[in-house]
Amino acid sequence: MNVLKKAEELGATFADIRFLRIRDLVLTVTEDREIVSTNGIDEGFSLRVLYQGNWGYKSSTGEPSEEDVKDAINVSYGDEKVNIVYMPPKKDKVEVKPKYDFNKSIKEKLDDLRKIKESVFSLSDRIKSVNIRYYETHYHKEYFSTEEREIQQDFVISGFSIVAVARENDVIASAYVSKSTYQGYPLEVFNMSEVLETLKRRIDGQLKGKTVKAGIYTAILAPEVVGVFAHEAVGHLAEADLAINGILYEKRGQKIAPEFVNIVDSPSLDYKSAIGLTLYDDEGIEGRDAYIIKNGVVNELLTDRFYSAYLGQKPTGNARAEDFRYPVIIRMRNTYFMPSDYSYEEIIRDVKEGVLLVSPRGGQTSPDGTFQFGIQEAYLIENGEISAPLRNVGISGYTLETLGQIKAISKEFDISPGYCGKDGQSVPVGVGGPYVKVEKMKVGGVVE
Amino acid sequence: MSDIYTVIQRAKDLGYSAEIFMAELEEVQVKREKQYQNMHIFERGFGLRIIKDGKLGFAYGNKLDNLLDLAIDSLKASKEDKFNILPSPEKVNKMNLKFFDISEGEERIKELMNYGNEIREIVNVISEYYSALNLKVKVVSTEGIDVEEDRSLISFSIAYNVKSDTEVSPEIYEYIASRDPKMLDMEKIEDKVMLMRKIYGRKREKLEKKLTSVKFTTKALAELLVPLFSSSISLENYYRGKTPLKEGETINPSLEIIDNPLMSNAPYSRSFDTEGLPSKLNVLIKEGKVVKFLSNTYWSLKTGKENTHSSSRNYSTLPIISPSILEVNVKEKSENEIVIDQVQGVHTSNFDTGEFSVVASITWNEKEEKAYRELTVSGNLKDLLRGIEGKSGEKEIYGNLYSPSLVIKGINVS
Repeated sequence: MNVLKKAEELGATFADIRFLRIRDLVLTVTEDREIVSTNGIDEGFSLRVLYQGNWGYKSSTGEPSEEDVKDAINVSYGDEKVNIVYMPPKKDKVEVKPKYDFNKSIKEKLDDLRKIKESVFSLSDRIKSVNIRYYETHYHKEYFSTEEREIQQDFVISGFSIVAVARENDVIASAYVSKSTYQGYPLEVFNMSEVLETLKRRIDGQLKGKTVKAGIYTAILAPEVVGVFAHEAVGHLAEADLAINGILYEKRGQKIAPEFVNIVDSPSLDYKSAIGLTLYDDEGIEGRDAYIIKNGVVNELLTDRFYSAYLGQKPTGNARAEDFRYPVIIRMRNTYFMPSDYSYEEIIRDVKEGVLLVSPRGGQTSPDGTFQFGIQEAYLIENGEISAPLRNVGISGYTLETLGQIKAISKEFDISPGYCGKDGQSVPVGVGGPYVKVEKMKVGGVVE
Repeated sequence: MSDIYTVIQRAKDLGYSAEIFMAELEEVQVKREKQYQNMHIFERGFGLRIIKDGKLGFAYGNKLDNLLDLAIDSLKASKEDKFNILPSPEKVNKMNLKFFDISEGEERIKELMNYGNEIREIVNVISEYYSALNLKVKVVSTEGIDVEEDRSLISFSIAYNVKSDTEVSPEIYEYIASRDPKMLDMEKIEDKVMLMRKIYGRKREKLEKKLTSVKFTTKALAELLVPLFSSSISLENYYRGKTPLKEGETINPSLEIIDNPLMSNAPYSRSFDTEGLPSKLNVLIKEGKVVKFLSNTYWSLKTGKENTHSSSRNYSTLPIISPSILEVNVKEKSENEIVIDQVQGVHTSNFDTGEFSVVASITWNEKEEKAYRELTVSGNLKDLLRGIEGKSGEKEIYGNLYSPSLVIKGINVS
């Protein structure tokens, strides 16, 4: 790679280059429109030099040249403190082949979506609008470094979301189901009857649901919500760049949760929605399982080359960039609570008054350990039984306090897909876990 | 290699109406955390829209080669829709939106970094981010549109916390951006950081009483009000029943909200929208009444309403509807000692109903100069607009909001 040699000639102690080619297709079907929203190819490179202890990047949609090396060196100013982990030479090609082919034409895919739209409207005459978004993103990644690492990866992430808005008198309900996978054509990977049933249940729940009175409740977090908790409330705090200013860094080696609590971030999982697939990260590092919390103890942080050196920790392979326009930063992949011994029935049986939180509407956390999630599907639990759906519930709290309140974890386990935003970059992630019982959780309602 | 005009002509020769949206960006970024990560970015891309017999085709790429063939593939699959029409040209009055070139921008960043160093003396800085960019936008169509504009933008953001002997504050963010570097008021950022050090240097307290009204700063409004209102004021969402707002309803007689893309130094200013149509000032809420929803060509034709020229996009997507700069005017003045400056979790809101439940992470008592632990703020967009009692202080630009701080009652803060 000529530009890497040029970087070394100009004095760089390390250089790498990422090439990315993304083939993108997005289809949108609404109550009265069928559109190819996006169809194209995004192609470019990101060259990075480590020059006099500082990083400098040049990213471009053009072909890399010696001028680009000079541009990268020109912006490499700073405090000259960057020290990184170096890796041995390696050549590898990885291709994740889909189990279900994408070999339908655009028209055939739109036909499939139209049928789904008709099925959505047949769920209820109260449904007034629907938005179905289908996407497939074909990634071709190449990585080269001055260490003589050459890694090539090919895989596809695809999925769909269905948003339905229903109206009954003056009450508006809006619910969605979103699925993504690395296993191929998503309309065949997932059972669409189950998807439609879920959508109907959420719409009905919001139309009939009552608002919960704000307060402290025993909460049962279902796998989708547990996943968001693992990701937002714990995982982000374990990203080394955030952790050093947050609460987990100083808690390394300390017990912060009951012994049966284990939280892991994995580069790949054999679950169809584990779309945080990162066999090699964007610094050319092999991914490994990172045990953030092991038997209730803060075990290790998620790192890139810089933070592995800074913390003296073995690289985890968590450096990712949305595309060639962005620098690599520490990101999660597939983050989850590990299952334990209880059954779902045993967990819910002795709850006198509580809430079952089934599906989130996104979440957010701060490095000081506060978190906030919206919930789109929730139920009131009374005397060990589900008694009524709840509408627009929010939960918030402190991660450490909440972890300490975990009383039971189930055997049942699942992974859900998501897209995580950080520093303006969005990357696919998997989140998941079993059912988790939290003795005391702050639940906020909505004034209506 | 193809150029824009050749592709447009080729499409025309094949009987298509066609439009190319081009964006070319050059940017220098400095990101300082434990390590510096500085970038020089060059990006060029094209979005091609073609229409024939009411069918719409779209393709994008970083090169023009093969784009037309890809767009034709899209068109063949799409559904006929009589409202798929490209707009005709209208006269554009160009504003000056480029105040520096990229090398000057890089020098200005180096000057701004001195302020970052000064702030590091005051509080515990977690990250600093500087950006200077030049953006060229061009729209050309078979219908005769041919407009081009150069824009500049410089911005600074900083994340920090305040550490005292007993506790650490939540992460606090400050952000400032302008097309014109001379308009960046860095002293104001420093003053704010000093205030935060004073307030968060003391132990945070738990708010014991239920609040009937609070003051939202421009920053907090940009985080909470702007995303909810932007979604709700879209003509597409109005037509599709995905907004709590209704045309003609009076929400708050004291309130006026304008979409104003003509403030040249503001970050989202533009002489034309992304369909190449001239920017115009749109009064959305007048004397408290919802009078207009924002639209683009498609939704204007479909609904028979005015085209507000509010098309927004990047080259990889079709045009959508989006506000430019939302200007909020409130007649009455009002004050409240409880100030909310930062909220988190707005993306968890239900944008179709306007309902939200967020955490106010940065909240303090102005009079007693003490901070509160996190509060939960919940309600819906209409409650938020209806509850505006009055303005406090002068109007400021934050992101795409131009508003004073607002005192709001009637939402649930606990």
